[in-house]
Amino acid sequence: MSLAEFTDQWLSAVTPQISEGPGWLTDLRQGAVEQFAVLGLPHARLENWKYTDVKALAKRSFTLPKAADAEALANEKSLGLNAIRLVFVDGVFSESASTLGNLPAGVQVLPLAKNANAAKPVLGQVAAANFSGFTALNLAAFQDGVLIDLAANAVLEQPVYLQFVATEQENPVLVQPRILIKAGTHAQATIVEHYAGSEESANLTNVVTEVDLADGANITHYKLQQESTKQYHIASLHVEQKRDSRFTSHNVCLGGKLARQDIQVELSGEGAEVNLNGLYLGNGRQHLDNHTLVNHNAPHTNSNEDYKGILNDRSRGVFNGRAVVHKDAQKIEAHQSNANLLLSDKAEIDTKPELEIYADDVKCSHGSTTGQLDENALFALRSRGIGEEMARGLLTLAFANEVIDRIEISAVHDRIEEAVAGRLPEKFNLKGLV
Amino acid sequence: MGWIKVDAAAAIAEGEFQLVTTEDDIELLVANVDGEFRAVENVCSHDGGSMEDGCIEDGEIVCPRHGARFCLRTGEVTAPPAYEDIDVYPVRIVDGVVEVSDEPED
Repeated sequence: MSLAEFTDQWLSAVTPQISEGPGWLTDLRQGAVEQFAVLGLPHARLENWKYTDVKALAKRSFTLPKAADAEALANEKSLGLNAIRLVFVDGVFSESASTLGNLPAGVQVLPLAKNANAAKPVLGQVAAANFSGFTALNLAAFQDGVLIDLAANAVLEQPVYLQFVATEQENPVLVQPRILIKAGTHAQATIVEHYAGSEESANLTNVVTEVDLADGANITHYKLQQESTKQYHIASLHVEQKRDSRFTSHNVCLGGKLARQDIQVELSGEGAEVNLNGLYLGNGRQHLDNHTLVNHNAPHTNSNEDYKGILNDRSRGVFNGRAVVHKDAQKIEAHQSNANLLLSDKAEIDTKPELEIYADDVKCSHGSTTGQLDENALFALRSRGIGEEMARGLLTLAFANEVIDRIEISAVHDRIEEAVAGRLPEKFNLKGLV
Repeated sequence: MGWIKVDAAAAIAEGEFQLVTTEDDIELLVANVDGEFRAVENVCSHDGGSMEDGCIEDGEIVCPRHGARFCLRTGEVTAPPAYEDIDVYPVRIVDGVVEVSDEPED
């Protein structure tokens, strides 16, 4: 079968979902179906998908998820945050497992399937359906999700914890959540997206997150992806920033057989700032891909990006960070760094930092490194009586901690550090140290 | 390590090959090279694309895009623009059926 035939097969699998929702939504979905039919699933001849071949994924068939009870699994995998918690089991909102609590004035946190009309002004405004075939497919047939709407000056002290639990199914399911975040003028919030679940789940998660920041808004976004190594995870995060807004993303990718994260940021107002921190850690034959794009559309905007990768066994990492400085975006600063640690001879990284500058008064830097542990640092630890394997483990964790230590919520920081330590090779023997 | 059934040995003629995909989504090219069955990863190390539209010449698979060549016995690259070898997978024949391992040779 050709890729086009697989595209048709995927469309027919999601057909029942396309007619779900009010009229305006089904119209929007129908438009996205047409986009998907044109775009199809991405293929390796597209520059953006050159290193991530989804041919094997395209051949797989998925069904639509049904509401399932997985409260015990959700509690087991929970990060245990003191937060407004929304649990989604295979992408479907679970009211019984969630705790919305009392929200401050001006804040709305609404599960999407039951509140579709509230999403009308926001849905599809930041994420273009034609960004990729997967984005179009999400709009065509997303099942559920959340709308987080912050009025002007609303400050949400508690983080919003979005927990996506994947269960093991006889027939793998296509999980398509949509996350919409709208922050009014000077509004502030912290959002945690967490993906985890059964170690046997072999589903596909295809999530799209849209974030719209008005003047002076400040959003911190955490994403921890810990799905099973049989899962497929395709995600895109789209951010639109107005004047003096600030967006910080911490993206930690540990799970998935094939995981792809796209981040697209539009710095459209003077003084807007974005900070992108990322960490990916691959084992076995995992394939972990991170693509980021920052568009400096306005003067005096700042972007800082720091992604680190640790790759073991035969895992493969892909990093593509692109910053585009448009013609009138003078006096901007864009800094980008990608460092990779290869723990095995068979591990591979394809890294490509890109700067595209059309303005003439800017400060920009970018760089990429790939290497092994520093033998001098290893010697320094060994000279203090630490065994070689543990010294390697400590240095590897220290490398990861340069990203993890920027995480401000201590519960999230600790759980991510534990998760990273737990994913490092067992011989490093870090148990009990973290 | 598991074994994946490919086809009857008689069904893969000399100079021809078949494709199989492992549980890890690795596509393998299982070829009959002068009566001997060999398997390599179906990825050209030059551009990461697949090679099923290529042909076998002198025990080598020729990439259809830029002409890189890889030895089907060793996975060794023998012609540019590729410079890295590709993985070789063990093959056996059980009751006349070609089987390929889902783990590459070291």
